[in-house]
Amino acid sequence: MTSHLTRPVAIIGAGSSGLAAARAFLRYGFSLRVFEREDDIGGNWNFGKPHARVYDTTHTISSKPFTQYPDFPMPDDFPPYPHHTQILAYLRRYCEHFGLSEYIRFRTEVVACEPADGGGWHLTIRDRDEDTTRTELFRAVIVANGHNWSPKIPDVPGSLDGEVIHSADYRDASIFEGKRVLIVGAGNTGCDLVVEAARHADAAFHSTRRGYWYAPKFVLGKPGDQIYDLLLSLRLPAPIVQTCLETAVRLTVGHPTKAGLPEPDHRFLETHPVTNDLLIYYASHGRIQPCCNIARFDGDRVVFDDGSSQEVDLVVFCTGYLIDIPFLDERYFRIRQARPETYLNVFSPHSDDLFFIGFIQPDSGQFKLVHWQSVAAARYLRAQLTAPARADTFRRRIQDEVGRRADGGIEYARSSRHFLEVQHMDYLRKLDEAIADLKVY
Amino acid sequence: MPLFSDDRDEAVMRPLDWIFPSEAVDREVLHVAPEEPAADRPPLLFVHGASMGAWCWKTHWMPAAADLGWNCYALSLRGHGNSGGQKRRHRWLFRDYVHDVLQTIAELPSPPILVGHSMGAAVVERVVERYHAPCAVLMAPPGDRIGLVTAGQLLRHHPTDFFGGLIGRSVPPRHKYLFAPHVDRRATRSARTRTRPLSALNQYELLLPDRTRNALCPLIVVGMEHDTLIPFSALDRYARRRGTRPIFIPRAGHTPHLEPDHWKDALQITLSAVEATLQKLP
Repeated sequence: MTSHLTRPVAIIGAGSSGLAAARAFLRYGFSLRVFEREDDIGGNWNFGKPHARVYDTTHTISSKPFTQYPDFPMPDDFPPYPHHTQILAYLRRYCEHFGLSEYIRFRTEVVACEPADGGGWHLTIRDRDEDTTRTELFRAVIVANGHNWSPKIPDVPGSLDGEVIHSADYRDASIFEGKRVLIVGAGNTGCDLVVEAARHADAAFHSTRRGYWYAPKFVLGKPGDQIYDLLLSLRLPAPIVQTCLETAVRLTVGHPTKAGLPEPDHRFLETHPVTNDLLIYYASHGRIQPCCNIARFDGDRVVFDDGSSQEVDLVVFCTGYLIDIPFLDERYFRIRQARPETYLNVFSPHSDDLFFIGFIQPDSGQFKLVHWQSVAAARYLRAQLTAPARADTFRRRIQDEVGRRADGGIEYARSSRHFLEVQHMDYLRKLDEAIADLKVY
Repeated sequence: MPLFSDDRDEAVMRPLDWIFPSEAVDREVLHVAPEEPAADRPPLLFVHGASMGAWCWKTHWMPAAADLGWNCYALSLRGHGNSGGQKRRHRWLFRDYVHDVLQTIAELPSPPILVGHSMGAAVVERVVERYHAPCAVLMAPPGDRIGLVTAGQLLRHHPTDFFGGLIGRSVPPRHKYLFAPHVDRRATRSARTRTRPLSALNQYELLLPDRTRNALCPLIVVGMEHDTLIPFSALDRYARRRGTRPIFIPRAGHTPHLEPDHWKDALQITLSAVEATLQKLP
């Protein structure tokens, strides 16, 4: 009988997280197999694929130094905030440069994932072209199927004569032409879409459950997140950082109430940051009408909590996505007390050879963080072979630290939106510690 | 005290790079492709030393290596050769040069073997602490505390160069610094038509002891017999600290790839060391 230790590592998903994981595990000497249910890489960034959630105007929210992989910079000729087509081109080059393509099995879907007796994991894999399934044993499993693809749709009583969609199905602004549009939610998608609606629709309404802070993309002549990182790297206490950021907003785009938007009921950073100058611009020109929470649909009208109502032809729920790992028992990634029961959203207390890559909602770019998540995971798996004593110490650390969040001293608003929220600098420092402790030789 | 006691090999926190990313400048990249590429061989990326440019590799080494089946690339760091950033030449730092090399790497089809010479070797050292190349060649690297040794050599041979350097003047490319004594002075004259002044800030960086992290790949340290700037004894100590033994190139000076008579031997010795290292890789 061959040991499961000689088996390859299985990576589920060939998006930005799966590719980073493939690179890290190859580098640390593992053989691997990547399973991708679509026929191409890129996941969320592959515009037009059934599970991609970018739309034609998507640009990154974080500037290049935060979004790029640390060992593979984005080209100098990309703008500070690249378009989604550039991100996909970048991922393709990453894949080609590091020779990852040969490990990827396309149109192959993982339908079940069970721990095997004696170690390793049994994966049930469905070939979508031949519609056959098979079960294979793997050394370890890396879950990288993303957390921004399964739409979260709120339950609104009543019925609407017009159309109701989720932003997952939104592709471009042509659907807004000649309509009165209500956008629900003030995430980065909701804000992008309400700006598009302000440009293309007959009327644009924006329903949010609270007032938010809207940060500009440039502050002091630099991408705003670079100034934000300057504050964080000075290790100032969170309230001082928050005051600085609120002041920066007041001095640049202005306090949201100046543009007629509702007063934020919380301090900056307590909800996931929204970066959008254009929303303030269109709101201050009266092209976006703010509304409060939806109470019910009523024929051709939407009724709000404050009793007001508007005639609306199209409602777009930009209400985010559910964490959905359909092939895995939910006990491995359980949300408890509004955060996942894991160590650093990567390591499971229930298994030594199961890792989650990309299950974070950072206040910064994602790729850099998933790179270091992958390095930490690969080093832990390698240390289990080459430095068992260190791996044991690390296992105890996982048990001790389960559910502790890298929040940089911020208390996030209670909402499912913040289940995976991390403050990236705090998070990277914690990953850095983990990586340093996991000396593999 | 060993400078590499900080046994860290993956540097996560680089706030300076995130807050003040290097400016984009135009880059000169030269490419010499082999007629018959050898299978499974990574490309070579050459990084020149201070005041040189990509041209210094194109003269002899790149065509000769391409004839042996190597796919050769060379870049000019900003402020050097025909790359941009000439006007603000005096303010560029190692981190800007590292940016240039990483940008060039990201354009290549696969991870390259990095070959750095002198100041370029110090750039390569900083690149391979964050980028996992198959292996790296450091020719006459001024790493560790060698900068102080070099300063001592300048003081001994040309005190004016030393004191000029202290006040931020570029150390000139003298024959004695570049080549072994027996080399025809015409080699220096022809090189000098294309050299550029050093970055003043980078010159200070070169002088000070550095604190690079462990490399993510095997290092090949190459030293020359008649190197005035970086004596072989200092290089030997440096290589041992890095956990390796230096490769010795006899009869050559600081810039073996431009020596009219010995460039071929130096290339052969270097490439065979590279091949031996590649064979040992898993």
